[in-house]
Amino acid sequence: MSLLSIKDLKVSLPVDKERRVVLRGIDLELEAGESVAIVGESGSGKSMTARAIARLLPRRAVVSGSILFDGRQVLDLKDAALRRFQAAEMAMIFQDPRVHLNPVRTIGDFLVEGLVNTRGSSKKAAEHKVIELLDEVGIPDGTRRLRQYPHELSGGLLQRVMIAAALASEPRLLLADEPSTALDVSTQSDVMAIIDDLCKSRGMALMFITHDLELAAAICDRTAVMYAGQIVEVQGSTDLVEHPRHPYSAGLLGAKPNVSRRVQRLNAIPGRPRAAFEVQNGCAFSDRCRFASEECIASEPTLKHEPGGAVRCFRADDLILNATEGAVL
Amino acid sequence: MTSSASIVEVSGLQKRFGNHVAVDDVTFTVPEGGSVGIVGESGSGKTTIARMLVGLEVPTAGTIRVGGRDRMPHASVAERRRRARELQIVFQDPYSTLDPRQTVDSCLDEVLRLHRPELNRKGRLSRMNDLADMVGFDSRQRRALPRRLSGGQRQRVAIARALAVEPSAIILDESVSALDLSIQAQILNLLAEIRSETSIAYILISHDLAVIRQLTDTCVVMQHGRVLEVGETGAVLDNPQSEYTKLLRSCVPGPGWHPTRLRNIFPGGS
Repeated sequence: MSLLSIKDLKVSLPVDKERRVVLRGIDLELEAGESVAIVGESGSGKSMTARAIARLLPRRAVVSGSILFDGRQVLDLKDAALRRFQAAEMAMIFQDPRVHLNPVRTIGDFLVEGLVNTRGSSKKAAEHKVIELLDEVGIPDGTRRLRQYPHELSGGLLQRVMIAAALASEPRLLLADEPSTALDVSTQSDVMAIIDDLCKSRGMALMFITHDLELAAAICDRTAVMYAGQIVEVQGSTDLVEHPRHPYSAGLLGAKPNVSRRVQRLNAIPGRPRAAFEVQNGCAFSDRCRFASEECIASEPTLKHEPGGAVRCFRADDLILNATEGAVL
Repeated sequence: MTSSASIVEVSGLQKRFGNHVAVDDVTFTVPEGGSVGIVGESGSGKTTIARMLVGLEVPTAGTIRVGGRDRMPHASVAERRRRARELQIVFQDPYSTLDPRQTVDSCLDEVLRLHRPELNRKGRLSRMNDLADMVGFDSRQRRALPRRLSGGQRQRVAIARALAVEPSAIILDESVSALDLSIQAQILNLLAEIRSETSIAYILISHDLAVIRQLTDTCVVMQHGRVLEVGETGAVLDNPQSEYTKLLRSCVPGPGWHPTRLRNIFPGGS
């Protein structure tokens, strides 16, 4: 049995008195200790997927489908059971740690409180554990850091504090929503290495949300690409970067400037990313796709399972897509 | 490099905030129609340089020459307006620099009236048509308010507004960093096209080495306010000389790349 099993997850949110669809049916499995990346542009629904799993959606969100965590229905959890799931079985880290830290309380208060509340540890034992955790995430002088306030720490250090907080409850699933996007390149590499190391050494499953396919490939076993509230392709991360199956995945790879060579023109995808609620009939990507046929405009493809992954494209078997050129027939 | 061929010359530039030296002894030149990248992480001083170039900060020491003329602080209104015609800037977040109640067309019209007083109504309209074509706006988008536009479209407005002035150079301060990848590629292509058509010069400030590679000829690598390395962009990125540039280069994800913990590189951590 998978640690996490998502089936036909649909979410809509109230916006200006109407309902807006943000997820149009997500299917995804995650084994214990496995890592999966969710890659997409803004509005694709990648963060909403993570928030739905963590039960952090706005109060008036309408959710349907199923999210099983270790066989239990996450969508039905209430009160104490929900709090236990959120506090001890999963943890989530976000792009901007400052939003999630109380600026008038010390790092020590923040880290120790979590342990005292969820594990019933004594304050002294909790402090001891927290200093160990800080060392594990690359903050060697924990005793001093515990007395500091968030504004005294750099973004990279704060993100490490958030990772330490996430680890404190020894969760089995870590949801990391663009944890390194706001950081400097060298700090990004450091923070991702810490997350990667810790997930592997602790056998923790990781769902890593990012817009960067190559970063995803460096960290995760599998990658799922999302577009307009749906998964359009899942594959082993390296295979996806080398042999994308969906024209959108190939488009993303081709659109990215390369640090080792300059090209005459980048293979930009025309138009702008569609939001889930804007999708009419047909494939959500068809209006930007070079390969769209009449079938693609008339009806919507399903996520078709194939050896090693799944792809949502009528033309997947006709196309040989090339990562560096964007897409070729 | 002789002054006749350079549009921007920065020499010995320094900026102190109290005891903190944000920019220290920075020297570089931007040739006419050239493209210079300034690379660095947060706190490297790259944005402070941009702000000094456009007159939003006063340098503590050093000189800035644009179009062969020194930029002394405390200029008159007429002088500031003249300077705006030489050097324009596009920021990372265009939304905060666009008037929320002004349509795209009205924004461009205002800039043209201010900086191109020789144009009559018809002349302005024709110039607005050209600008809208250049950045790919249709008539409906031209009548739209900023909040109705996407992030990529707002950045196009900011670029069109900068181009309206017909400056000799545009400073792009992390102008494509916040954009989605598919949109970022469109804007990078647009910027490359504009440069080949108009012989405008770019000063591109970015932390993203791939963007620097794609759009610049020369690059300046900065750390803690100082220049560590200057050279042809391809050479600097393929064969970095300073340890810091090597570190930055090694942190860019690509095939076969794995993230590394900094503790191994800098004992003791940050």
